[in-house]
Amino acid sequence: MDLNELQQLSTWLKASGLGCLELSRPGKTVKIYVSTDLDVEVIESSDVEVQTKAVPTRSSLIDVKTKIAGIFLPTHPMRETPFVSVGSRVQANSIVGLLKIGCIYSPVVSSAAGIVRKVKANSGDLLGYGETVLTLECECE
Amino acid sequence: MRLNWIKQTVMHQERFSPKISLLGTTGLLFEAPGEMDLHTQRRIWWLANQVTGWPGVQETVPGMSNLMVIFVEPPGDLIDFQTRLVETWKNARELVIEGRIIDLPVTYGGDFGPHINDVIAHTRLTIEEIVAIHTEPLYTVFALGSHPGYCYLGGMNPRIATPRRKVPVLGLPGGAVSIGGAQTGVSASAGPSGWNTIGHTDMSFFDPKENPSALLSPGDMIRFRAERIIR
Amino acid sequence: MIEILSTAGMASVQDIGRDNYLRYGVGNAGAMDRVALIAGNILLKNQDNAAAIEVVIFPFKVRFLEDTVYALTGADANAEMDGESIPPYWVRQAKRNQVLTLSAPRSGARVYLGVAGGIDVPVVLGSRSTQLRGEFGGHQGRTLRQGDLLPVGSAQHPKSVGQANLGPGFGIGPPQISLPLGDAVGPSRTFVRVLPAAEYEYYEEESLDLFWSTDWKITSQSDRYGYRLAGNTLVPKRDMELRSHGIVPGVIQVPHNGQPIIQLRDAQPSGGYPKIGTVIEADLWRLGQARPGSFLRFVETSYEDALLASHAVRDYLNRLRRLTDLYDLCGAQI
Repeated sequence: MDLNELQQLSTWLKASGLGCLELSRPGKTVKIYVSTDLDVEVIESSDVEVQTKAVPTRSSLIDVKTKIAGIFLPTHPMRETPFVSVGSRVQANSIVGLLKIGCIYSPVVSSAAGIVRKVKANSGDLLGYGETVLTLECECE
Repeated sequence: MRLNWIKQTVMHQERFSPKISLLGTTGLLFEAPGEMDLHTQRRIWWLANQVTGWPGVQETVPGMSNLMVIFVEPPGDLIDFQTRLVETWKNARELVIEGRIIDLPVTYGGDFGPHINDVIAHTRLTIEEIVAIHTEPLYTVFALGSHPGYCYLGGMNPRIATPRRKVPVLGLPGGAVSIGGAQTGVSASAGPSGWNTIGHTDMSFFDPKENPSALLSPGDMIRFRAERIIR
Repeated sequence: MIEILSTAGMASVQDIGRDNYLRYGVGNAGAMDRVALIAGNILLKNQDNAAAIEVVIFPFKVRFLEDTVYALTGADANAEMDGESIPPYWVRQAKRNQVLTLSAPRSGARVYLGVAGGIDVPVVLGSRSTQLRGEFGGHQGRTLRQGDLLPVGSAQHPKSVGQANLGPGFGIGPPQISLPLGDAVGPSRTFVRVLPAAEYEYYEEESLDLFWSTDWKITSQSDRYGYRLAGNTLVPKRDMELRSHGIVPGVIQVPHNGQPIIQLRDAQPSGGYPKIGTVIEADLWRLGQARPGSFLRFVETSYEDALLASHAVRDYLNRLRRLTDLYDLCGAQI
């Protein structure tokens, strides 16, 4: 990601009325803050260690984590029932919740098939990158 | 704003002022004062040509002595737009169009003229008298509307005027010759209508593959010929 | 190509609609919920007026005959693809031969199935919308049938091609959430704003009060042509026989029986019944999602407020555009 892209991102951020955006990939995190007082953008970049993949073992518990920052929604706003609740059986790559970033709904995706044992995030929680949304009991061979 | 608006339209009910009303923010309707005759209609055609070029105007659609103006972008200053429209109307000239004459054979009454009895009841005329009065004039196409290729005709004898139906009729076949209030026309395709259908013709009026797509345009003329009368 | 595997009827190909042919008697046609159509096109990186399938009777089932990026907007049809539930206002990828099933929504009326590149039926008189009355436009000028094959246009934006790894896709905030109107009384009542029209003041004072203050039931005789409403009888001060004049989608006519009809996308572009008001353009999408059997409430508005309402819709769509661009860029970085 180069400086131009960062500047583009921060311009859009301001236009979108968002205060902060955090982008991550393994080993790298970029946080962009838009200051409303000074009308300047602060761009932070740091090397961090992030566990991106849980290694499943037989009947192990794994955490489903966020891959982008946003406000957690367990239920789609047009629906009444949440994507999952404790006891739900989920497939790998299925949607278990949403992260709301402005008017974007980014899916939180189950990293493995299993049964939901604990939903850690609450509706409306502002979650950062890599935070645990729920814990699955993995049904692995 | 709305109150002003209503006051204005009330003022405009005076016989010699045009009436302008809103169609939401999509457009507005300009209604000319006076008779629904060819002189007024020619001024409407002229007004349509003028207003089409105005900024913010998508399309102008002539009706029977009225004009619908469709906006690309609704004007920020509505009063100013209305004032310009009225000023332009005051100076409007008659646009004379030398159109073609089309002869239309019509079967009156029967299954394809299901409301002829309502016209008989309302006018207290016989079917022969109604047909004679309906086939007599050379009608001018005043405007197109209703559905693709449909022509609103001017020149009907008011003796056979019959109010529109209380409830529109669904699924009438194309080619329906009908009377609605003081107007007459021919439908170009099957569909619903609130008019009284008195007969049927087989002419095709619209083909989207042709340019122009509509067979007739304002200024053309139609003569109905009674091919058959079913009592 | 998309193959229609099953349809219960009335589904049609629609874009924003057909402008500039009203004076030939050709009505607008186009999506009943235009906001949903455009939102779908934003998700797909299409032009705003790319054509989609408007579905109104369920179930509706299609097979994608090639890898296709598609979007679902409008009502929530509890869509399913290979056992996976697809949320509303969502974009994602279908692999060749995957089947998408839409079921009856619990609320809302119309679902838009759009594809990257748009449904590529021929443009007739400036639009791909189906002109049902004229029997042209859309797919062979008619509603869709089982076995119909619809061509998909080539995606214009490089991003939509690059969305091959879209995975579960992503969604956007629906206008129902972002542009709320009226008190929260549930899905059985829809509020729409109305500007008085030419014959407004020719109605009895009491009728006008009832017009604004009571529920209007959308009867079963309601479709893309118009909604016939049932409620109190609106009484004019005197009988009116008007000269035929142009009308637009949203015009509320009152035939002699005193029960209003709202003219909609497939309505004829002219009429002669008295007009009591017009549902403002910014709220027509709400009508598109109001179901027969449910109720409407008319909210009086001013021209200025109606313009502001249009701006609010435009701002919402612009916000979607900016944020989907932003999200795509982020997505590429993750």
